[in-house]
Order: sequence, then C-alpha cells, then structure tokens
Amino acid sequence: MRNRSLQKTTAISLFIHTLFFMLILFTAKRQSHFTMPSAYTVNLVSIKKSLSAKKDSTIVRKALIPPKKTETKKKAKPIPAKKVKQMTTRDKTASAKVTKSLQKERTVLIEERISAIKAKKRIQRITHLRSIIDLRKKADEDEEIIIHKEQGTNALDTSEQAAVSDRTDGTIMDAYYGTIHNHIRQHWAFPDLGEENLMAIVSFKINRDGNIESIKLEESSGNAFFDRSTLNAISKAIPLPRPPFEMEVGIRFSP
Amino acid sequence: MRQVLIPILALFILIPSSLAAKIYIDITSPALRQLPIAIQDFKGHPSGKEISEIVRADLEYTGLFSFIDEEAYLESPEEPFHPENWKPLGIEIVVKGTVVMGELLFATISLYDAIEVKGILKKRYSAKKDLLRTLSHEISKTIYEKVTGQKGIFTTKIAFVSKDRDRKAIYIMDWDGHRIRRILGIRKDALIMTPHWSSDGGKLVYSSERNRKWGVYMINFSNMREYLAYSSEGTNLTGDFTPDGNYLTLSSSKQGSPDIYLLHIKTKVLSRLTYSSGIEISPSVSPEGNEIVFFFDRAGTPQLYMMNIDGNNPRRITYDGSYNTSPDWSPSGNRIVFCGRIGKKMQLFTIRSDGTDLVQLTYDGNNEAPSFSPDGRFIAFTSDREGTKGIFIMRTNGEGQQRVSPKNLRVFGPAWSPR
Repeated sequence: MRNRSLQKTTAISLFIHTLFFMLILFTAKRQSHFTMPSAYTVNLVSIKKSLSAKKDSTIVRKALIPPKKTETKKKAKPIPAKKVKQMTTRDKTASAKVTKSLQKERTVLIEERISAIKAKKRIQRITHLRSIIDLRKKADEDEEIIIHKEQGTNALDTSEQAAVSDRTDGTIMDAYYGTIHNHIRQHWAFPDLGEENLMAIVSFKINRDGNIESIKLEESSGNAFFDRSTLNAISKAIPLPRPPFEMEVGIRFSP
Repeated sequence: MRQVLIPILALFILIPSSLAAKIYIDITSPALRQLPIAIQDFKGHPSGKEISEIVRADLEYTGLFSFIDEEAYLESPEEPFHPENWKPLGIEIVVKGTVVMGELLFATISLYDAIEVKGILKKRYSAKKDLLRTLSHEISKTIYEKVTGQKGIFTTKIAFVSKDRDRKAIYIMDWDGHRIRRILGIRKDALIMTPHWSSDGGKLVYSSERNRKWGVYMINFSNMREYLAYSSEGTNLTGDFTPDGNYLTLSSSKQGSPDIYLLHIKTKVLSRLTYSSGIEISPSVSPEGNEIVFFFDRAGTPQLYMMNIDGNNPRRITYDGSYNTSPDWSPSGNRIVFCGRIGKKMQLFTIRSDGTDLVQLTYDGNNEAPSFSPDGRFIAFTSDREGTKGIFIMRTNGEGQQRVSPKNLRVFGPAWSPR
C-alpha cells in the first residue's frame, strides 16, 4: 500500500514538474522566437536618462520627447499651486518666456518628429508598393534588396538606440509576409467551381535559403481538390524569397 | 504505472516544441482562376489529333482551364512524361493519349500531375468508329471529374423545337451542337412548346396543340413512344416535373384565366394552386421540390412570383423591368434565370431566389427561353442576334456566349438535359 502511494506521489510530482517545466519551456520558446530582444528597450530606457539629448539623431529626439513632457508638466504644476497669488508680473513674464521657449522647442521637436514619421511612412509605402508592383521574376532580387535595406536601418537603429525598434521589426516582418503572400498567391491556381466556405491551412518551415521543410496540411478544407491546389501553390512557389531568419508559417487559403 | 507514465511524460516533453509561435498569413483569392493544363495530341492514328482537339475545346469552353501554345511544349507527344518539362511552363496537369484504329476505335489516356509528380489516371476506351465525338466527350468528362471533382456537362444533351420546311419537330443534340437528331415530327400547322426533361432524363414533356386542342404530351425514351399526359378545354402549357418525377406542374385556362396546377402523373389527379383572375403561367419547380417560381401579371406589369409547392405563401421576387418571364431554377437552388424586357428587346437575367442580386447576362438581340445546365455552370437559350433564332450557350456569368445550333434551323425553347 505504502509503496503504491509513494509511486503515486512520485508520479504526481513528476507530472506537476513536467507541467511546470513545459510551461517554462513554452514561454521561453515564445520569447526566444523573434519578437526582437526586449534587451533593446531596456537599454533605451537607461540611456535615455543618462544621455541628456546630446546625440543629434532624430531617433534619439523621438525617444526623448516623452520624458521632457513629463518634466515640463511637473515643473508647471507646482508653480501655480504654491505661488499663484504671490506671482509678480516679472515672474509672469519670466514664466511666459520659459513656456515660450519650451513651446518653441516643442514645436521644433514635433516638426522633426512629424518629418521623421513622414519619411518612415514613405519608406513603408515604397516597400509596400514594390512588393505589389514587382514582377514575379524580378521579385526575388528586389525583395532581397528591400530586406537588406530594412536590416540596415535596423542595425543603425540598434547602434543609435532606436526608440521604435519594435515597430521597425513589424515593418520588416510585414514586408516579408507581404512578399511571400504575393509570391505564393501568384502560383496559386484554383478555378471558381462555385464552392464557397472553403478554407485550408498549410504550414511549413522556411529556411534561410528560401527552401521549405516539413510542409503539412494543418487543416483540410474538406475538398481534396482545393487542398491539392494549395499544396501545389506552395510547391510551385519554392524557393520562396529569403527570410531574415528561419521561421515557421501557416498559410490560410480561401478562394 | 510506469508503462502509463512514460508515454505521458514523453507527450509533455514533446508538446512544447510544437507550440512555438507561428505566424498565419491569409491568402484569399488565387491569382490564377484557370487551371494550367496541357493536352498533347494523341498519337498512334490521325484521328488521335481530332479527339484531342475535341477534348481541348470541351475543357476550354468551361472557362476553368488555361492552355498554352503547343509550340511552347518542351516534350513531344511521343516522349514519356517528365515533370521537369512542364514545371517551367507552370503547367499542373498533363494529358497524353494513344489511339488505335482496328475494328473499333481504342483510346488510352494518361493523366499526370506535374507538381506532385505522379500519374493520376490511366484509362482505356473503346467505341464504334462513328462514335468518335461521344468517345472524346467521355474522355473530357473523365478528365474534368478527376481534376475538379465535379461532374461535367460533356455528355449532356439539349432538346429543342424547330420548324422544318414541312413540319414541326422536337430535336435532341449534344450540348456543343453536334449530332442533331429529330425524335418527333408533327404536322406543320400544329404547335409545340418548350420541352422539359424529367430529372432522370428518361422522359421529355411538352405542350402541343393538335386538332385545336391543347394537350400535355410525354415521350418515354425507353420505348420512344409518345403519350398524352393531360388534356382539357382551354390552353394547357406544361411546366417542370417535380424532382421526384411524380408530379407535373402546368398552367391551364380551363377555369377561365390561366392558373397553375399540379398533376399527379399516374392518377391524373389535378390540384389547383392559384385562383386569381390574372394570368399565371411558366411554373418552375425548385431543385428541392418545395417551391415554385412562376409568371404572374397581377401587379400591372408581369413579374415573377414564388410560392410553396402547395400554393401557399405567394410572394413577388422581381421588381425591375416591365415583363419578366420564363424562369428556370439553377440546380443548386440559389439562383433563377429569367427573361425580362429592356426597351423593346428581351434579355436574360439571373437573380437570387430571395429576389436580390439581379445580374444582366445578355445585351444583343432578343434572348429568351433560358435553361440551366445540370452542373449549374451554363445556360442554354435562344437568340435572334444573328438573324434566325438559334440556340446559344453561355456561362452563368454571361461569358462565352456562342451559337450551337445550325444557322439554317429556326429553333425555339431549348431544354438542357440532366446528366
């Protein structure tokens, strides 16, 4: 009896341990998966405080805006609270001057920020347009260039502490997903057979060289002909445009 | 205990690796709406080329396949199939064939998948020498079914009425207009109206006026004899069979104005479905057999109405146009094709069975008497756009309109056979 209960308890503890272990593994795996190191953001915060707006890159300025705002707010608040009645005209003009200069600085900052955002948007639009307009044959080369460019900017950002690292990751990835979306779609042939509500998911791993591994039909549409057309689309699309890193994707097809 | 534990542990260790974050990308419409296919000339006998041409034309007409110029093929018909010769051309399916002419016509076809690199099918046919077209259509049917999973129309027929020099006649032809045969001829001064097929394809029913009396007649193909199914005073015009084949819808003016009735074919019991003083004609039964769409002139302008099979719940479904008639239900039951007047010309339209989503399909000349193909992808109709009224076919979106009946034949009311 005792023996058995011991076995049971060991079993249960093993079970719980594995569960715990699995959770850790799972979360670890999730984190390690290209969500772009959180280390960047941590770095940024510390540098923001130590560096008092000495670097001239617009990106740094962008990063610096939020703390400044809070500072000005903090300064502005206590003054009226304590010395509202005692304020002389001098004080008023002085404070007005301060606020004016602050405002000026702010408008400059805002303008810079706007122009930075505009520039970024333009780049995004261009990459997007390119990914759409590019001819299939040319696509491979051009996309590579785009990716390299994006990586280049990203590298700059990281060296100069990008405030928007997460967002640029998004654009690289979005651009890449966009290109493989277009690339696979170009190869997908499925005649309109009047069937609606078809949906199939095909998943696979994309290697650095654009070849794929372990392709599988994750979810069948229930229509063998539709399923086949989706698998054929991917077979025909190989090699895919090179990804920035090895990744696993699922393609959800619907006519 | 251990025996149970080990697999469980293994499971827990293995699961996390498969749970890695994965991105899903949606692709919602294929860039190619046509399947790239290559049908090489069948080798072995000169008739092989003819057969492969018919097959190619059949498949091309469906609008579901794309062909590239044979000049671009890297592989000759004599060479064995090699996927690397087809992949660069983007071709997914390759068909090769051999024809041998002896006492009979023998054809062997092979279907290959160039992407998955495998043979899909190898099939052998034999037929009398004069059935070359039938054999070709059979090959088309097999390929279509293998590649799309649906039954094609390649072996279906179209029945229609025509007037010769000396008499009225009912004809049957292949869907592509070939092999026209007259199955019934009657006196020139008699009248025959649009025929209707039974759902098993074994019978054809039509109205005819003989000796100044309107009757509903039926031909049974098993013995090729004509029967009188119903006759009475007034004008009797037949509509569809019900899907179970037990009843016939018809309109009769024996009580004054034309009303719609349901006739039990065996017992000849007639049940009346409509009672108005207006004109109610052209009944067409839904594929499920639970509803009837019909022509009714109650609203001043004649329009299409719908009612239950027992005559209850009549409701108007068309509102556009001034004269909507000749409805025919699609085999899937979601659309109705009909003929409506625009200006002074009759044109064809489809509409959802709930009365929404009206689509105009024809624009030239007068286009009338539409009939859906059994797969619901095509419509046969009559048109006078080229002078004499001929039978045309088109896809249900209005594409691929072409005349299939001979130019010298003046025709009426096509009816597309079931499979």
